[in-house]
Amino acid sequence: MRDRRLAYAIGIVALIGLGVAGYITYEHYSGGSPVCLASGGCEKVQSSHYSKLAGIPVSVLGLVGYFAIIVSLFIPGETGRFAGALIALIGFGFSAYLTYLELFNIHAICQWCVASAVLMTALAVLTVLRLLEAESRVSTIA
Amino acid sequence: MAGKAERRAAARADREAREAQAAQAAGRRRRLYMLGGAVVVAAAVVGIAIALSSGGGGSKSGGGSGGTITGAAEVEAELAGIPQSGNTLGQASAPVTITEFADLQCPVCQEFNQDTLSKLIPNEVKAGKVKLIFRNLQTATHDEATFRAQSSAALAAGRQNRQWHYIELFYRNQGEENSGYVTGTFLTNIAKAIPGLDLTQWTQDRTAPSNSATITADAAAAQTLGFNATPSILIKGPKFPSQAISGAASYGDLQKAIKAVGGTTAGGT
Repeated sequence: MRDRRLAYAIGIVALIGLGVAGYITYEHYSGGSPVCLASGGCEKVQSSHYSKLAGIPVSVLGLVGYFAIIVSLFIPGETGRFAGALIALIGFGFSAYLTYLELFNIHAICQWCVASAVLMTALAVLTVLRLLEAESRVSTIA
Repeated sequence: MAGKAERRAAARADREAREAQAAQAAGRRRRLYMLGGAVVVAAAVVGIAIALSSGGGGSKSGGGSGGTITGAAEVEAELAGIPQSGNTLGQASAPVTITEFADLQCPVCQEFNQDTLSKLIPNEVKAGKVKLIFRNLQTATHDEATFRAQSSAALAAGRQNRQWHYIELFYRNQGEENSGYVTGTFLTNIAKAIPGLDLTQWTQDRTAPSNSATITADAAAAQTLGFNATPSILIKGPKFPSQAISGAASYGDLQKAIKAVGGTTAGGT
């Protein structure tokens, strides 16, 4: 069944995302005292004040987002599919904004953040497909 | 008879197919509505998040914009009675030397100045236990010309032994990094706010070639020490080895490091 395959794909992509966001979060906290760095895109992006939203590092928000998408896979029916698509779309929108900031405002690119943005985009596409996918059992009664 | 039954079966199949199609169409419409709803909600959430994100940055207005420099009296009170010589604050005989590598536009350096140095200066530095040296390391400032201009402005104040006045005032009026607030006017306004600074002399000294050489030497020194972040601090005392701290160290951390290099701290505060 296509729904099942999509669910697997979403699960795998979200797990990779969880890994990426986990890594950025770890780097963020293991850095100890905050610093302003001379070189290296990631440090620049991570030490920018945009790296936090209302005091929460955006990598933590990513971590929560990926986790929530995985959780949504275990919620049966349309509720789970709707929740998954909603979270992925929020993640996609925010990732797009962050990538815009990196390019035009911070002038530094963090490969890990871009990787996360790509994964979120893939998740948005997959979850939307899954939401739109007809449940074949319902439509073929005869 | 068989023909009639067949016809009935065919009609039923046809009806079922139509019903199924209708149900499918209805389901499809419903899912599209759900998707629409998800898109709208997601857009709203992202919009709020963006507003929060940029709002957080906007809270720092950038002191240069208004043209008024604040905190001059506070800085004068803080530094009164502490000897200065060029980039050094404190008595030359102080047993412990803390060298700070910083970028005046770096927000973490500003925090370090506000949270840690504001305690170290009236205590250890004023008591002659520690002297502070400021050195330049470009980090937060993207544009090298701006970095050199702002660093030279501070160095020029140092020629009149008021570099720390300049640094303290710059931090107190720091704007959002690279927002363009560091203009010639902003730098001059800071100089104007320093009591006793000869502005004509300062204006001349700002463009002295030696500033550029100092900034380059500072960068080389940072590289030798392996410092590539600001603030980076080197604490040297009578006891070896020296201590290096990268990042906005707390006052407690600094006091510990001062003791580790054989220095003394102000008790308890």
